[in-house]
Amino acid sequence: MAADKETALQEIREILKVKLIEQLSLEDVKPEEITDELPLFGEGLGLDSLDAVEIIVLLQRNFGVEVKDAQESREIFQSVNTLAEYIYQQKTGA
Amino acid sequence: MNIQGIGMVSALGRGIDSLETVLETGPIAPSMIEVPFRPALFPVYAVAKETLKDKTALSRMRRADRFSKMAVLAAIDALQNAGIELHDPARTGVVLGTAFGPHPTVFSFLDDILEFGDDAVSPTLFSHSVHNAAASYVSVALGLAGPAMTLTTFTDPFHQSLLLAQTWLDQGVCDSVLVGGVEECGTVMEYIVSRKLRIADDETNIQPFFAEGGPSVIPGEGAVFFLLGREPAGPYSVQFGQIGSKAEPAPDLWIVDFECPALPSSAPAGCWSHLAGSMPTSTAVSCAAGALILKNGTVYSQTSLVKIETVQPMQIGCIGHKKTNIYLGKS
Repeated sequence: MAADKETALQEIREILKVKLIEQLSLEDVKPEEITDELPLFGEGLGLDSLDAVEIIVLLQRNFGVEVKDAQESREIFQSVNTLAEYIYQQKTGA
Repeated sequence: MNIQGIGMVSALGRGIDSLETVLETGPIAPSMIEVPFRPALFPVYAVAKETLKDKTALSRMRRADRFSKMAVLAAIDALQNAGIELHDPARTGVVLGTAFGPHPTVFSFLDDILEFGDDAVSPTLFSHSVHNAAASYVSVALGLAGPAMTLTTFTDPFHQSLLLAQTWLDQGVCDSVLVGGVEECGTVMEYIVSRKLRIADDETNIQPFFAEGGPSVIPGEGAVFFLLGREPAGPYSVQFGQIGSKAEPAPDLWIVDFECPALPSSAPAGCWSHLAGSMPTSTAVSCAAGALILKNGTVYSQTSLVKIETVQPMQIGCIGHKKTNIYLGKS
C-alpha cells in the first residue's frame, strides 16, 4: 500500500515539475533541477505571487484539484513534495 | 521628426545591421514549418528563438510573450543605435503600431476558455492578450514614464503611429518618441495569408500585388523601432517629413510596400520590405531601408522589383497599403 502511494506521488511530482516549467515559462530550468524539497518561493525556485495564481490554475487544469483557502495554500505551495501530497490526498481522499 | 536611432528584430536577426546585410547581399531562405491546414511545408520569415534570448534585456520578462519580447528588444536597440542618453524618462513616449497585435496569445487565451472553462484560464495569458502589454513592457524595460500607446489598425498602422508621435513632439508632450511597428506570425495569421494570398514556394518566387499573375508572398514577423526627436542626433541625419495621402512633391525614389496595389509612375521605385517577410507593418521596414539608403547614399540593388535607376536620392517616399505616403529626407 505504502509502495503504491509512493509510486503515485513520484508520478505526480514528475508531471508537476514539467508543468511548472511549462506554465511558468521557466525556460532555463530543467525538471531534474527542481528537487522534491526545493522551496518554490523566495530563495529556492524564486517564484512570486503571480506564479502562485498560475499554480492554482495548473492544479485545476491538470489534476482537477482546487485550492480555495489562502492559509491552506501557504502550506501546500511550499515545494513539489507538498504539492504532490495535496494532489494525492484530494484525488484519493487519503 | 529626426530619426535618431533604429532597432530591428526579424528573421534576419537583431539590429539594423541585419537589414543592411541583406540589402547588400540579397534575400535569405525562409523557415519551412509544418502547419495544420496544408500538407506541404509552409514558408515563413520567422524570428528565431535564439534571436529573442537576451538575459540582460529581458531579465524581468520571463512571462512575456514573443510579441512583447520582439518589441522590447527592437526598442532597446533603437536607443542603443542612437547612442544617446534619455535625460528625462517622463519626456519620452512609446507608440506601437500593429495590425493584429499579439494574436497568438489572444487565440491561446480563447482556446483555453473553450477547453478548460473561464475559471481555469491563465491570468498571465489574459494580461498579455491586452494589446498595450508590449508598449508597457518597452516603457518598463527602458525606465520610461512618458505616454505609451498602442494603435491597432489593419490599414497602415505604422503611418498612424508616426502621426501620433509627430503630434506629441509638435505639442511638446514629449521630447523624444520610440515609434515601432510590430507583427507576430502564428498559425492563425499563416492560415489567413494562405487563404487570401498566394504563398511563394521560396524567396525566388516572391511577387508583389502589381506583378503579372498577382501577389505571391512569404509572411513574416518582427519589430522595427525608431527613436525620434526634434533635433538631429545619432548616425542617420535623416528625418520624417510629410505623412499623408498627397503624393506631391514627387520624391527622388519611391519605396513601395509589398502590398502596395500599384506602382507610382513619377519616379524610380524599389521594394525591400519583403526581405524580412510580408506583414502589415512592413512600412516600418521600408522606412528603415529608406533611412539606410539616405545615410549611405546607396540604392541597394537587392530587390525583387522594379524600376531601379542610378539615383542619389535626397528625398524618399514610402508607400503603404492604401497609398498613404511617408516622406523621408536628409536632415
